Amino acid sequence: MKYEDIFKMCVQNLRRRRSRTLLTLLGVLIGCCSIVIMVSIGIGMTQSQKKMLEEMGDLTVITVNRKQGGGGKLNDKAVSSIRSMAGVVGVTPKVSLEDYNCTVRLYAGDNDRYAAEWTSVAGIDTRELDNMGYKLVSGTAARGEGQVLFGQYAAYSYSDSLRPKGSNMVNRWEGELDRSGNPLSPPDPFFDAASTPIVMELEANGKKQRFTLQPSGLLKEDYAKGSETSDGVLMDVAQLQSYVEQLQGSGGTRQSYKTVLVKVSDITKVSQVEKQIRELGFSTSSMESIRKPMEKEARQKQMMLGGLGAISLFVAALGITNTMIMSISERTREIGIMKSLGCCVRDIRILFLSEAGVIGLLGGLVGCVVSLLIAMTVNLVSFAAPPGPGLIVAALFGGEGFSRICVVPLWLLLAAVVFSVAIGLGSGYYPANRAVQIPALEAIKSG
Amino acid sequence: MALSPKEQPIIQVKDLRKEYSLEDETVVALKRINLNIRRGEICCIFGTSSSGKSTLLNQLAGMEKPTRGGVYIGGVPISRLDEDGLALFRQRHLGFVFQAYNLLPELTATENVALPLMFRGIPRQQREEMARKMLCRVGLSHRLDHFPTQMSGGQQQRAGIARAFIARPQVVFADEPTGNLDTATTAEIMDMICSFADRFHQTIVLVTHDPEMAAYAHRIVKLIDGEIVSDQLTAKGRAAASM
Repeated sequence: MKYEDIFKMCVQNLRRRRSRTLLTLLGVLIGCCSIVIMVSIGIGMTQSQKKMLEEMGDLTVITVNRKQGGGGKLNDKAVSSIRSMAGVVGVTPKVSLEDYNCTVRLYAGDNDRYAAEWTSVAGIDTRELDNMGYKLVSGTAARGEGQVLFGQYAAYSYSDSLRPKGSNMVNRWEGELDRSGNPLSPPDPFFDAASTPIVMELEANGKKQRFTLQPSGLLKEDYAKGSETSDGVLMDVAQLQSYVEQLQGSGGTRQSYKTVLVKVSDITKVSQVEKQIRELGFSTSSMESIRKPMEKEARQKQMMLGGLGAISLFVAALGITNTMIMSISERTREIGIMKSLGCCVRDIRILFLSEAGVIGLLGGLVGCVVSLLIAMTVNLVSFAAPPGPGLIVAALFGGEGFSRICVVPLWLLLAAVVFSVAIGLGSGYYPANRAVQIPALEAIKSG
Repeated sequence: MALSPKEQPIIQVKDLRKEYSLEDETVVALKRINLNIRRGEICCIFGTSSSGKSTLLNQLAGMEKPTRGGVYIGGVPISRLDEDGLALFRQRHLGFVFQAYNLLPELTATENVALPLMFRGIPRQQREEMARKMLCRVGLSHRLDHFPTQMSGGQQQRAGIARAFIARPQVVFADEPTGNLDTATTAEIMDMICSFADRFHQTIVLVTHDPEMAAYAHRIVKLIDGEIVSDQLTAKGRAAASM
């Protein structure tokens, strides 16, 4: 028999018992939906967890410290040996002025007209800026003597000494806010931080010293990297150390770093690199220690949810088997006639398998569409905003600043369809074998 | 009756025995049947119910396995073929006319007649063209796209005959083909079967309990209690043999 003939017969048989086919299909559809929705909730959970962790800090950055009471010195030699480890893409010491008990004031404009206090000033190896994942909004990385990078909103932390107290600062949050709470059109600050030279006044033990800083660019705000990316100053670590030495005399700032940051190429390599660094005799910390148990828990939840979904698909499989067995007992005579007219065993088996397979396929396909609609609705409801075309797209495919409850990736849909077809074929196997065993003699039996 | 090599029988039944086990007793349906049927012969297997005639037909058509002995059609031991072998053999060499017509209810007359060709894998257009020709020949040119339920018994059986003969089988088995029909239609149907058989020199095995049917046969094999009690040529058969 030709496959097109088998297929035509199969469709004909399914249509003949339309209501029964539809009900069986509904079973598969519900099973497929429950798997897709359950798994998508699991994926959504994992994703929002990851997002949350990322907001807490960069997941691929390891913070290295000296071990309490001993351990190796965290100096340039240690830095270069960490750099040579597999999977490490960036290493930089990180120091901040607070480490040296200095207070800082920044001045800008003629006669120190604008002043900022409590600014965080940090130093890293500026050659590693890109590798560590720092982003610039404008300008270039600080390379030359006296060049520094300012945080994206550094200019907003200055107060104007010529204005009365209470209205001497520009409030970035004054205007309207967008959905995620950021200002839509912030007012301009007093001056442009990217081009205005700044005077930094350091004070320690009653001694003050002023240094002139030239901005080379603005950093993109990223709290995971530290507040200096928002309203502070970032410069080369050697430069920072030299300023401190000029103020305090050579106080041995270069002997060792308090903190070294290590950026790893991939989240999966974090624990391995951490282990190697610990073997060098340093203590490390990273988001890994939080991420690992959370990931494990999420995976367990995902499996539980998926298992719940799978149960309903298995129930649907029983439905298919039942339907097929009924249909075969109704068609006993027909099968006998087909056999007596010379229909091969193989063709009969394929015919019944394909009937079950088609139920699985249709149930899977429609189930995918329905579960996409459900996922979209759930997401739209969770956004708690009036739905518009943009929100619908965000509900289906995700978008910047949207945290979805149900995440339905393409592979999940494909897997659901394949699984449904497999369930169909699997549950059609036994009925098809029964059909094959019906003798041609059935055609002759009177009745 | 000695057979010349030219007259090698198309169906040979050798020492055929069939028993059925019913709970703890064994029923012997066919005792020891030996039968040769020549090519082109219209052989009537005649008997009352429970004479074993239906069992013999099942054996001849390979529907059941014998307890002992065997059936050969064209030299092929069909009682020893497996399911697939039988299916292929039926596709090529056997046709069936059933008492209950046995047309598939979901298919039109044309599709029903084309069914044996579909199982052989002949493309749709070609096989339906052949089926339409066949239906015209049995006088159903006005019923090509009708479903079985829209046709009378006689019309359905004519479609059944068209289906049995479409693949030009060597042997056609007819199981009480007119059992459900009135006398006038019976004559029509039997004439049709005989004329097809004559034209293509096909062998017909006709199973019946109706003595009137015997008139259409060349030869009457009478069964009682699983044994052949008489085997005679009819007048028509003698005429055919002497030709």
